[in-house]
Amino acid sequence: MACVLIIDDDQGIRELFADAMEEAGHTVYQAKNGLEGVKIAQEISPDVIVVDVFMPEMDGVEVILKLRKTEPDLRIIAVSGGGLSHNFQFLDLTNNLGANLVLHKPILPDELVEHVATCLKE
Amino acid sequence: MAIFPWGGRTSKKRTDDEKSEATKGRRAKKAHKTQMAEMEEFAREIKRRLGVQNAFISGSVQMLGVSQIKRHFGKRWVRAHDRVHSLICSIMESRLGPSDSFTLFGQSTYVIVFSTLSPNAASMKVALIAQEISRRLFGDKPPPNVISIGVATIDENSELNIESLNSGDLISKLVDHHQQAENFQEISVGPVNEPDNVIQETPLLADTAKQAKQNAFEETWNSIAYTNKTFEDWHNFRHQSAKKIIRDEWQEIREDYKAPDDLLFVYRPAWLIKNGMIAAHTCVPARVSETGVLFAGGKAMPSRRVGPHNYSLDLLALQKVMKDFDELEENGQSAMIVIPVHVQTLDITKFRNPYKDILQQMSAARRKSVVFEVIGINETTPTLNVSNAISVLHPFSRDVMVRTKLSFSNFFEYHSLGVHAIGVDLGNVPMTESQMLPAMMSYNERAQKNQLHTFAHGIRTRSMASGAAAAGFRYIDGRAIATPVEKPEPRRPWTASDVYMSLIEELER
Repeated sequence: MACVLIIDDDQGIRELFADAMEEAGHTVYQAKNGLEGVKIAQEISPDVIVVDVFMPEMDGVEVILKLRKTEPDLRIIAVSGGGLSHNFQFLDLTNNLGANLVLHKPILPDELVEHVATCLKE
Repeated sequence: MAIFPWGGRTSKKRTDDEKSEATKGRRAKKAHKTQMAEMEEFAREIKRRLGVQNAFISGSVQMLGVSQIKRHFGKRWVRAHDRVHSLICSIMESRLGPSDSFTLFGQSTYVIVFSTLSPNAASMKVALIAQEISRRLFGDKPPPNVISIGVATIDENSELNIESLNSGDLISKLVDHHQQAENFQEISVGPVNEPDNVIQETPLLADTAKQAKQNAFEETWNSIAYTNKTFEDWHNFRHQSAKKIIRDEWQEIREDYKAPDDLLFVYRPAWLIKNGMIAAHTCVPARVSETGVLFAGGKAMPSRRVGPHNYSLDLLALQKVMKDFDELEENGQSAMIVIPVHVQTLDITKFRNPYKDILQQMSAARRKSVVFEVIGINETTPTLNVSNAISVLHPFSRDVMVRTKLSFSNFFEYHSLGVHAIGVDLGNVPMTESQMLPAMMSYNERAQKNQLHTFAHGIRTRSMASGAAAAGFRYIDGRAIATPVEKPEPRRPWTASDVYMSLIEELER
């Protein structure tokens, strides 16, 4: 089983994903924004991070950029809706910058668990 | 002369860190000595060639010293040297005017000769150039004082001197002025009490923030004294306005409330997110005070938030834009320019008429490249006043936008007034980012229901940029998007990756 870090400013979504991951047997850590997420990731060296793109203080793109530099083997799943604008260019950017997987919200918790499992096998 | 921050340390027992710091200090000092020697050599050369010492105007010759850059690159300098030189040259070429010139003197001093700018304007331009170079080379948080600036001055004995102003000294006095709501958007920045994620437009300043704060306090104090007097005058103006002042008297008003001689205008590039381009430039006033403090937006006038000064500012901004349009057209270029104008300027006849006089000089083609942004609106501004302002501006522009508070809710009426977009200056909103993101969403939801586009000024962090894009703002600007430029520029591609480019470059090093 793996160590998973979930970074999302939406507490409801974060806990939903965390519960599903714990049920799947993973050890889960949570962070409410990118700044906190990068700090925790550097302390615990997770196997996978699930990161929302749009967050206050430090967004998902910055998180990926910073962690890719220090943790090249880290598996990263970027998730987001397009917001009100239905603009996916920031989400697409995460793909170009090194996210292993890019998922458009809404995502069911079980789906995310499957994606994490796939990522871990790669 | 600047005081450089390399105090000697005398402690006998030093830690490794302290020794390392001391070594760095010695190297920095050595690099500075070399730099100064080069600048002084330049002064001697100028004296020798010109034969007279005051052949040029004091302040028109400025120097950028880059020896500290060399030091920061260390062993990589040999490989990086040509690239750095090309980068500096390309920045200079793009930022200097057609009649300005520059050359590399010695190993690490770039001499810039300004033909028309005032010393203050030249200093500001050099500061912006230094800022751009350091940001392109070192990312968002470059080492302090990495570029030194020298200014050729003539002293009281007509002696030519090279006054060394470390960039950390010169621009460090730029301070952030958050309290400019209802005025033009902010452009100046400073490191004072800002969170780490805020992108600094003047990243060279962090180490001297304290000094900047002191200067800011002194300026504010002086401004208050001025304001009281002007309030009194303003009441007189309102009284006179009731007597229907004839047009000629406007000239007197302009004399009384004329702008400071060193008032400048810069342009803030606006990102049209959906189309992936810098689509427009907003004209923003700025002024460097005698003490070196940069005032931007409404604060560019000695007294702010006081009627006649705002009107003067509006008029000058419009005149400046017209002049820049002339230049663009001469070069066969076009650019979309956003011109802020206070609702009050268009509400009072004696101010509206001179403004309209200039508007009427605009050709039909030029009107297609102008967007007006009505500002100065608060909760108590009658919708009728806004409506009148829009009807004055519509015939002379492509579109009219209106700046509101983030809490604004009267969207339906604005839609019916024919407003193209409504927006906010997020640089002036006293909220944390966590609070601001939902508020931005809510603002856009209300606007979209009324089929209004939205814009946001003052985007200072990348997370705010992505958040604003997600919230649905159509146009955004601010230091996290792109730095101000001195002239409006044609449209150019700009995507989300450009927002992160400096961070990507920083991490790649």
